[in-house]
Amino acid sequence: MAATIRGRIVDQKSKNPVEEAVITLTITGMTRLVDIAQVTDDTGAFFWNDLTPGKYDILIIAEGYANRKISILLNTNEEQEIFIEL
Amino acid sequence: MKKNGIYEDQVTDETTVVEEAFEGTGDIIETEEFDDTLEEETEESANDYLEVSSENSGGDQDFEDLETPFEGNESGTTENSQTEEGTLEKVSGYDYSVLEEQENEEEDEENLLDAYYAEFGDPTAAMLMRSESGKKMMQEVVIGKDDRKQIKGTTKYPWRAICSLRIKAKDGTNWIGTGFLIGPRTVITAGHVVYMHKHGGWAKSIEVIPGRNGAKKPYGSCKSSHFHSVKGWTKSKKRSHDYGAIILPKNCKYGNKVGYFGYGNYGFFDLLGLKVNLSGYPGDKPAGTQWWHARKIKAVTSRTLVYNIDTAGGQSGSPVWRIKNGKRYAVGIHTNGYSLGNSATRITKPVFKNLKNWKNKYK
Repeated sequence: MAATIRGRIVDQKSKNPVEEAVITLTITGMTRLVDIAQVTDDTGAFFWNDLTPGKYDILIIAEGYANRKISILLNTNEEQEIFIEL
Repeated sequence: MKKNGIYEDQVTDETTVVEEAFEGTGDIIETEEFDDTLEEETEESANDYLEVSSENSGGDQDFEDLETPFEGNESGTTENSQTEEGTLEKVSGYDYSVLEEQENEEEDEENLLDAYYAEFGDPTAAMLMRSESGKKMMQEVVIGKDDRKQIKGTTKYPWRAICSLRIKAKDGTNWIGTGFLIGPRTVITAGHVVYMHKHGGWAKSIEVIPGRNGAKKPYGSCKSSHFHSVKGWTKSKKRSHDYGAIILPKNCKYGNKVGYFGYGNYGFFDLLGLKVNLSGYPGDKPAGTQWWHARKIKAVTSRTLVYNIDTAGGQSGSPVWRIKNGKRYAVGIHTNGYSLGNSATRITKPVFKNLKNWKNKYK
């Protein structure tokens, strides 16, 4: 039932990975979410599994970049890959 | 019980809540005793009901259920005043009148809270909340507004006893969270900070940064791979058992310098409507900055506290505390965001005993 997000964040111009970007998730509706945030690794990657299906807002905060917020819909058992340029 | 010098399990109180510990890499061992079942929960709910008797509702808890705080050896750096109400920190620029406002929310708060209690299978609390006195109390604690304040003086107590956490999960993913000192080298946090079920179990390591303020680490940082939690979390993943501890290395007794929080096992009526503080390191704010907020506790179950204190990812493990006679006592450990209200693991008697054990065992 749980869904997964695999993401990668890169610099828009250089295409270099953005390391240490902080990712926070919020979900619409009656779903409890643990209040923990993820940080991208040296390849700009993050990986979040065991998520309840639903509509998520993903907030990305990285030093030197404007904050970015995107929304995604996660379906049951879905593993969604997202690629974000800052 | 120890095995291979890596894991240990021990019974910490008469209700046989079993704790687990991790001191590095290794295999999880099965324990023989684990009575943290639904039946036990029901018994605890009944005990909570006993706590709300008139004899206990108005006064302090027994002395043995309060563990005193320590403000550290750094002189002259304590927040020296509190609000008129006495339980809150005095934070410049915060409009404390919002705590008294009766806000008209679109949702039917009462029904939502009924749903919350039902979800936690807490018939005692649900029944209480359906009574006239319960409804009145609940109406008095409906609140909600996002007005967090940044704490810039993080080298003052109690802010310096709150720690930014950098977590390296076993699967290589990196996370941020919050913890708070309760002893020289005992940092309390959420269970899902030290043990992540879908990211390899016990964290590989956690960097603890007390009093962090952005890029500044006024007391440096220490890494640890020694953690504790309870089987209700590590084995059963019960939200109600979501708490744990990070034990700092022997050469890193931060608590002696920056101080630590006290904590207490308070009863239902002591907690419901109590104005509490929450401060931590949210991921939706500039990296490494500490943010505080305060609200009343709007619901109390046998093992959780619910409030409209605004939080974000990264604040798991933040202390939820009150001031009593000028001293800071944690009453909960923040864990979740939820549309029905954000919530903490309540410091109940078994939690209190585990915290005390983790504090006294590692000095």
